Amino acid sequence: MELTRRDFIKASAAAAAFAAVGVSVARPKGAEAAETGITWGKAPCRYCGVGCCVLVGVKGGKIVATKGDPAGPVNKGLNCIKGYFLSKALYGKGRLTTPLIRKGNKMVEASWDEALTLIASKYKEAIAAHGPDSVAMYGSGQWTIHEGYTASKLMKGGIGTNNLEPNARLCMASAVVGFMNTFGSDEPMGCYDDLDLGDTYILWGANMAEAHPVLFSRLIDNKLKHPGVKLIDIATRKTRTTKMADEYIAMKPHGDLAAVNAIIHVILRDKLYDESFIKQHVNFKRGKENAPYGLKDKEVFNETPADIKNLTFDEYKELMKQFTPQWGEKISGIPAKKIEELARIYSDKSRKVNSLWTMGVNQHARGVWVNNLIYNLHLLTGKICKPGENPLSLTGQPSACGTAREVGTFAHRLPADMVVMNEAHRKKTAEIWGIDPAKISAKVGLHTMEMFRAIDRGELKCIWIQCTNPFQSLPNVSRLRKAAEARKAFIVVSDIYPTKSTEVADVILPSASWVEKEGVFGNTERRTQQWFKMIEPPGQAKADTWQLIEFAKRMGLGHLFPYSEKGFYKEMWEEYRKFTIGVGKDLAPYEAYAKVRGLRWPVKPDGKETRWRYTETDDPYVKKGEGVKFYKAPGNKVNAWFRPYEPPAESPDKEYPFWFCTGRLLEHWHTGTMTGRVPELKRAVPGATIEMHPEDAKRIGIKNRDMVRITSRRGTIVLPAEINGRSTPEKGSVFTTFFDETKLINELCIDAFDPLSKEPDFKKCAVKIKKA
Amino acid sequence: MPTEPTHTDISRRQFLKGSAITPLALMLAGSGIAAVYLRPATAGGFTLRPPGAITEKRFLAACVRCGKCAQACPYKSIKMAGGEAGVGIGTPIIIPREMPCYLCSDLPCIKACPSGALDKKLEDIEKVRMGTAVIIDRESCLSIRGLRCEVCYRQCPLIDKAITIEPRHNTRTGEHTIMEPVVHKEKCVGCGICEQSCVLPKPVIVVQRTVEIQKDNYEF
Amino acid sequence: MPISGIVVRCLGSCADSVANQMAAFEGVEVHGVLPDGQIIAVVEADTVDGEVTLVTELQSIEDVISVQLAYHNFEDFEAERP
Ligand code: SF4
Ligand code: SF4
Ligand code: SF4
Ligand code: SF4
Repeated sequence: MELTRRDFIKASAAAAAFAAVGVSVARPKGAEAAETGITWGKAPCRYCGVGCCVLVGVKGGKIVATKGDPAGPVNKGLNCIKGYFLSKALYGKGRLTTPLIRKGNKMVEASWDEALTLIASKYKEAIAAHGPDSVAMYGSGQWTIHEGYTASKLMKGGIGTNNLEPNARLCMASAVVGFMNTFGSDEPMGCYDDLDLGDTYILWGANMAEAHPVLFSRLIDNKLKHPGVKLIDIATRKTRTTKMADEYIAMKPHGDLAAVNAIIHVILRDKLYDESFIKQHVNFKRGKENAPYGLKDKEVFNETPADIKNLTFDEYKELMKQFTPQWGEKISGIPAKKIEELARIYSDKSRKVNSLWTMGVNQHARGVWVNNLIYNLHLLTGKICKPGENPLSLTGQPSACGTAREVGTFAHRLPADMVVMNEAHRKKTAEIWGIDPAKISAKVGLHTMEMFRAIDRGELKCIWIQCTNPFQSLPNVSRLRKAAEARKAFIVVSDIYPTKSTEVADVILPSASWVEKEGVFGNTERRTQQWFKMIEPPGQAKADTWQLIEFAKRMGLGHLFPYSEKGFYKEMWEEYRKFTIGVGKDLAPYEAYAKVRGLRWPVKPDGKETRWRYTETDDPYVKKGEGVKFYKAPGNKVNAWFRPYEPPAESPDKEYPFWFCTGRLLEHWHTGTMTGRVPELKRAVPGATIEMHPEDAKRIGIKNRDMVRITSRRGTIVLPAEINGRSTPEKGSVFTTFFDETKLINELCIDAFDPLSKEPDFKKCAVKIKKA
Repeated sequence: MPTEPTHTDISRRQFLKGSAITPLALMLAGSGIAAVYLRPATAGGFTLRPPGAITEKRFLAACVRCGKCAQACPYKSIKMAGGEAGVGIGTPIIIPREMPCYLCSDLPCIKACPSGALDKKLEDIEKVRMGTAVIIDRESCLSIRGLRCEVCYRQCPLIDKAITIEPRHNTRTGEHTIMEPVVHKEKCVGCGICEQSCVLPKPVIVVQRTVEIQKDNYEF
Repeated sequence: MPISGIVVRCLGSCADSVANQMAAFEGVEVHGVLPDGQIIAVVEADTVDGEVTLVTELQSIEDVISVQLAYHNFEDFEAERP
């Protein structure tokens, strides 16, 4: 008799029911096979920078199950609710399955060859007429390392332009510049273990409970286990993070710039610093001040060596005298007494102090400065490079670190901390790529905001967008959408679903996502995680690497990618790995990653990972007896920067009396392209709301769920009010999320950016509110 | 092929429908069930009424089945019960999974009620008691299993009052926190938003009949 | 195509008649009746909703005290059906 799988499942069902009433029965062997007829593979979560590991169950070419990977060191089998419904992100309604080409107002199905030949002809045409800097590519911190590497080699080494940017410009650029100009090398010295080992955590404008869900659960566990652990939430609104913190300190928007300076003032005034650490490791510098806000097109601001002054410790102390706690209180809203207290906490020798921050500090008109200042706190007190005691910049995207930063898909970067402006760096890169060094342009490409403005100005003729949704996520987006709608440039968008960006595209290409292709991601704590392809992408969808290389062939650049079909991922990896060896960013051979749940670089010669950089306890680049050595900084000395206070680009006034801040929530990811198609998440949080302080709402006569019109100088939008809900902004501020594609909240945001990092300030502009 | 069952606990078993699998299930001896989920039967007989509804018996007598509350509800949360409701046919009900009550601060449904079936004395939305949310299946609740869900909590209009999060150490992983949602019946209004938003296919948190607090002299 | 294993409780004396009534439902297979009046059955329906309806109907059989779900599988094995 032929028994089907269904019969086995039924047998299991009956057996379980018997067991429930205490009759113990065994499951038939066949039944077990029926349930485990699933092949499980490992992968990192597709969504956030935490980098949870998941197991993906595949049967009959389809994902039938996913679960948190108990062997995953970050999450030990847990996920947040986005991760729980991970596979549904691939099986949502409306996957793009065939290339589409614009014919007037219609998108018409086309073959890959037609689409790619068209793109190549447009790129060639533009390059012939206007040079290689008239074309661009805009990628993503959700690109895999291979995708970013392919794009970088193609644009920088092949086409010969540095017009390559990742959407990480919108989230991590300030952190990057902060790392580079303080330590001479990108990415943190510490890791997630610090969340288990420390006893004091100071959050600067970060809602970790929602933006880094599983990591927050780890941090709180440290608090539960050790009652002495203190969590201080310094922020502009009360969030779910506040609810679990020991202390909430309300701060005015942009107030961090003043508050940290005032804390440093107290540390210096009361001699709370670690003099010997400073002597051994720290140089003091003063940079260029009176910086602009990037509001004018083509505005240039660079901090060149000529602009930088060396300071002695005494000169630095003298300069810092102006930032008294009273001054700090006036500007930041944090009481002077609290500032004094924070200085004492930061310098308390019996406390292991960690600073944690993310978009509050990075999406900031002076984001680099605040990054620098937070490092100063740790450098002055010597609380750095020790297990359980570090500053940790938290990342938002799954591979903002691995791809955007390590591969270097920014307009000024090359792999492994190198930059296009440096001749030696270009030479080394050209050597590994096997090309003429002259091919790599020394001219920094257009950064994200300028790239899209250049479309409006008619200067950029072609742009290819992969794996991101800029026509929803960029600030002051209406100007950019209008330019695109006026067809001022030829726009190609590769994605997995229709988005606000495919809406304005000339060519739409269907992409493979996540386990529909092989890939590698790098998370916040320098952990590199690999996965294999497990299922076929739908229809004609193709991996972004395939798309780029097929395009390259049509551009006569196919020789840049000489990898065999079978060994593609490994061969490209081993080439990329050459950049990382011996420079403190060492990656392991490709096979090593197939076996483990990620490794934190620099990977040691014996194949072991590094948890803490720059310290003899763990880092292979620091010899025993050397203690702490900042070997990536010139003269092994890092920079403590003098960074004064400068106001935000736009502040509330009579006409626009409210601060407007934007961000994330737990249930949705970025512009909602994926999570918006997961019915459970959509049901949980169907759309954006505007969070207000109850007193503000009362004053204007707004009740919970009333429709509210929010207007800035750039746009206007109507959202339902959320009062006394999950978060409450401070009086005078309102907050909303950016996942809702039916509400383009970025039309309201100002396109001011940090002059050093060029990262836009999504957290601050002025709006007026009225009942709609 | 299946051999004769050896288990003797099952004495009076009957085979009412012959099928390939019936003997299979019964021959199963030994142990080894990996996961067994037991869900308690749902609270039979409870109907979620609009805010301010008087006790069920009196409600059935008082309600004139005019549908005015349903008309007044801006979210169409209130539906009129059909034949399946028996004597309750034509009375207003709320099915949270379809549309919960969003707790309008001016309670238009009560204002519209001509019969007194919805109590006009009720003005403070926090005093509404349509029912009480209960986590009926702890084993399935994602948060209790250690995941970061808590969707019901964050969506509750009385967040931190009607539902709070009770954090505790996750002994399995050794380094994470279980953030368990706990409903407080003295604060829960029974609006059903939690039931509607629960991410699982069958809601793990559902609104049930409010059980009176059993008073005694202990006060803490 | 959800399949569930359920435990139906009823008064011990009514178990046989309840089991017979249950067996008459399309999609219900009774697998055993225990002396204390517990009935073990497997329920199969086209959709989860259909399944819920079925369970509700079982609940409304006279003499049934409760219906408990012990096992639930809603995997799609459409392809296998004849
Ligand atoms: S915390 Fe981040 S990485 Fe982990 S499951 Fe959630 S979205 Fe994925
Ligand atoms: S309070 Fe509002 S949402 Fe709730 S039932 Fe009444 S009218 Fe509908
Ligand atoms: S029913 Fe649920 S959402 Fe409504 S008040 Fe009670 S706990 Fe909160
Ligand atoms: S939404 Fe459902 S699964 Fe999530 S915490 Fe609430 S009851 Fe549990």
